[in-house]
Amino acid sequence: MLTVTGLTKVFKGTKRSAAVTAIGELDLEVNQGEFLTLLGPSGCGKTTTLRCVAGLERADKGEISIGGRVMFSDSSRTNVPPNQRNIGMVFQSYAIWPHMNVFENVAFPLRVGKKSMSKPDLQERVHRVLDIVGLGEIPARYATNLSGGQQQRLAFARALVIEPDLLLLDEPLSNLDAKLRESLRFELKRLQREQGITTLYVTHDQTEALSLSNRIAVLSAGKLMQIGKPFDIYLKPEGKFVADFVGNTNFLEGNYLGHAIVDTAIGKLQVSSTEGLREGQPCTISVRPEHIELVEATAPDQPNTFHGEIETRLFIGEAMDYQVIIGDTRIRTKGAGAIGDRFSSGQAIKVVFPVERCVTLSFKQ
Amino acid sequence: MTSLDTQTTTSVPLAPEPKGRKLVLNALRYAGFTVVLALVGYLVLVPLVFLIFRGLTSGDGLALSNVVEAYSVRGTGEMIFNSFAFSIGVALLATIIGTALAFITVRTNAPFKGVLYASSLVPLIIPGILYTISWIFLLSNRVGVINVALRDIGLGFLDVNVFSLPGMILVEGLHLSPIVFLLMFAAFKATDPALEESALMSGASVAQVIRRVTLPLVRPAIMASGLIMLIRALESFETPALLGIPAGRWVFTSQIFRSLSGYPLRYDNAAIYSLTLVLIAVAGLAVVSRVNRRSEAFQTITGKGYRPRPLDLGKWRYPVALVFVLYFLLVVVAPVGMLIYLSLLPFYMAPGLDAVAAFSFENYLSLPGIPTVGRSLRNSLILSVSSATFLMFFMAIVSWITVKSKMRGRRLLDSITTYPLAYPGLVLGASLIFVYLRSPIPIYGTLWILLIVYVTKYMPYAQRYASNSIGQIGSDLEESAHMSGASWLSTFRRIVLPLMAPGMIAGWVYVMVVSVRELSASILLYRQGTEVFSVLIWELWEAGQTSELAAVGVVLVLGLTVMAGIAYKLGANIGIKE
Repeated sequence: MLTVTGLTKVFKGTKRSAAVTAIGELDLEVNQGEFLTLLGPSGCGKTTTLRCVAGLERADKGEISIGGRVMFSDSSRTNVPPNQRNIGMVFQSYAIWPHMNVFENVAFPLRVGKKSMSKPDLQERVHRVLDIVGLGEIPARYATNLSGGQQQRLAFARALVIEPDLLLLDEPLSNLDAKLRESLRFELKRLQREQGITTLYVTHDQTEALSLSNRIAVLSAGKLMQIGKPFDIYLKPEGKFVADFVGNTNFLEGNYLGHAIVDTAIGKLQVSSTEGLREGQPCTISVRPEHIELVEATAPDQPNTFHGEIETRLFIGEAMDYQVIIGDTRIRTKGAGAIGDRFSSGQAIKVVFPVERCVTLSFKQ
Repeated sequence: MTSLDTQTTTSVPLAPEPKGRKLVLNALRYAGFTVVLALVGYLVLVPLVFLIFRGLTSGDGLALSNVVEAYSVRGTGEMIFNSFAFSIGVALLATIIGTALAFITVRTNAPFKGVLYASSLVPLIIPGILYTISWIFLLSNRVGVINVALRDIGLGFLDVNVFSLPGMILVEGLHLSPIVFLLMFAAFKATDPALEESALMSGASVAQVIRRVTLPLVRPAIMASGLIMLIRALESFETPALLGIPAGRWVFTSQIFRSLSGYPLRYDNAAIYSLTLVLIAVAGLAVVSRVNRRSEAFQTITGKGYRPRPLDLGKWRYPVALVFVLYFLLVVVAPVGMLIYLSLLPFYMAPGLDAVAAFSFENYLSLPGIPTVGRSLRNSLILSVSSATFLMFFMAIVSWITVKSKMRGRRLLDSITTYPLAYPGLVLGASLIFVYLRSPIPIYGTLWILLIVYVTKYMPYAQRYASNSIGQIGSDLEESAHMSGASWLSTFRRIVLPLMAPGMIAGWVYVMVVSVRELSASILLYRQGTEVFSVLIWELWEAGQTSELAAVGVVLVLGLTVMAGIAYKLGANIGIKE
């Protein structure tokens, strides 16, 4: 559906700043009806990529095509202007026009350009879209009198009303408070699924990315780090960057001994995958805090069990965070909160690293 | 934390709160506040009270006879028509030019934007009187350089005689257009570019985006700028005096001037016309502040401050840049060039080889020999330095009260200090004549009365500089000084004042610049011996000493440019910062 190949964008330096390569040779493929998220820290090039797809930013190299139609290509000097790309876009600031009311905001895309639409058709379509996003009750309200959540829905309605081939969402939830953000996340997922619309979503929030997407593309410094299903991104990160940026993790450095055993500072650890590792090669293991089990010091041994001591305990509501010392190594773990086993600071315990959750990271990054 | 607290309380027992001392301090603070309020009130309100009193009383008490009389003078209808035709013309011209230039500058990728930034300083560094005089030599019917040139190339039908209503509108409109440019520049910068981008993404063409999104969004700002220009034009004195009077086009300001300087003196008429102007200005400014509030509601920039995508003008880039250059030539180069040209000649000659052969610095060298030159230089320096110094110190105190303190009555103080914005210079001058002509305070005809004029007229600007720089100081800084045991006074002296210094110095230079170029009030209040620079130029013009005038003018523009440059470097709110 959306194909991006070799996309490169360099921001020219000025007197005060050096040139910045925002995107370097990016390849991306979004399938029909798919919800793909560009995830990365600020400055990783995700918004620039989105704006290049929208046509608001002109890339330096590469090709962008939507539904087989070439929108941008440096080799054939093609650059379709943004108003002819038939893309819906929701901006981070929502960009609701303050001099129009709710109805007019949504009707605007149907009234401009070369489109011509009869008045009843237009009314019908605007009201239908407003009903979909739940603003059907307040078409005459002025945009300046809308709450943050309503503005977000309005922006969504405005993007959907032209029945776009592609929907671009630029951190649409980042301006809302935490509670609202969570409830709108569900709504966004529902809307996207019901409308079956191909969506490219930009965020720096890993929870949003994991919960909303069909696939996630993790970017760093203008490069694609890993692309895959949320489960794979989370459970099988391919590199240190992805493991660290998506969720929390513990890194353990070690040497591969063969037979899925890695020699680390805390001892010999059995790992789940050893793809591409040769004996004697140094490697890094990632274990997520919530996968590590803490048991009483008297409990029977299982594979990957080590003696440790609770250093600090933090109660954070839905869970309990522990810092555990094994030898000289500090490990973070997370256990079910008040209902789980509670250990106190200084208590000696046993730490279990489930084998299937000990992931060796490839060295390409 | 808790353990630390208990330790301090046990080991260092606090002295009991000295209640009496606190009361005395509070009383002192309110006494100080009263003095400040009284001084501001005296400077700002007394002239108004005298003006109203003068206008609305006749020999036997309150009466409207003055109003009737002033408005039944022959030619009043024409004067009112001229005033509004002139002001509306100026407002339209300046607003259209300024808005168009600001739009192109902010939203497109046209080159040579720098020349516009330079032009934007013109109203500040070229006093109106010099600007108008230059334009007389550029555009008067017989000798105007532009007129002659147009006739030579067969475009004589394009001639505009500067001594006419259209001529007045053109000169004043060009002089004020950079102010609209600055106001609209800010307005365009303040609108979220995503609003335009989302319209583009909705499928709108560039023309549709401009017409249906960009312009409606800045409409309040355009209206406000237009209104401000209308008021400025209505209050302007130089152009109506130098161009309008010879053409027989009288307006309010030139009539006030004639009533107060011609014979017989018509104080009552001047008072009524002045009151009319003040009323219009107050009403206009009230509308402006309403409109501004509306435009602020439109200007909520959120999001990540993405660089706005400039409109690609494509092959139109250079034609548009040509418009910039033409504007720069017209607004800056032509008038300043004419001034320099005049200053090098013994008497006016049409441009040509003869004129170049006659170039000399004679005029500049003769300046020290003219007694009024030295005197007005001295007077202008004394007045501008003292008004700037007094104002900045005084307004620092006022702003501290209005911004930082919780004293009752601080809002009143704040609004009184901004009131002089509605005072045209000429009206202020007229009012002060009424106040001090027969006052027991013997300052009429001295430099003191001019100092009072400048201090009153520029109080709102000084206050804005002071309150902006005070507003930047977080109250936690002061509170931590208090917590460290510093008194109110030493907090102000050692924390607040040093932090305010850069903004205050910028304001100081700004007040100096505007004081030096003040003409419309000074012209009514000066006497022999208290001439200032702008008055000197006026006198030289009246005496027909154009060459000396031009030399003085060039020196003055140079001086003002240097000062404005210093103010700009210090972060004064003039021109544009990239």
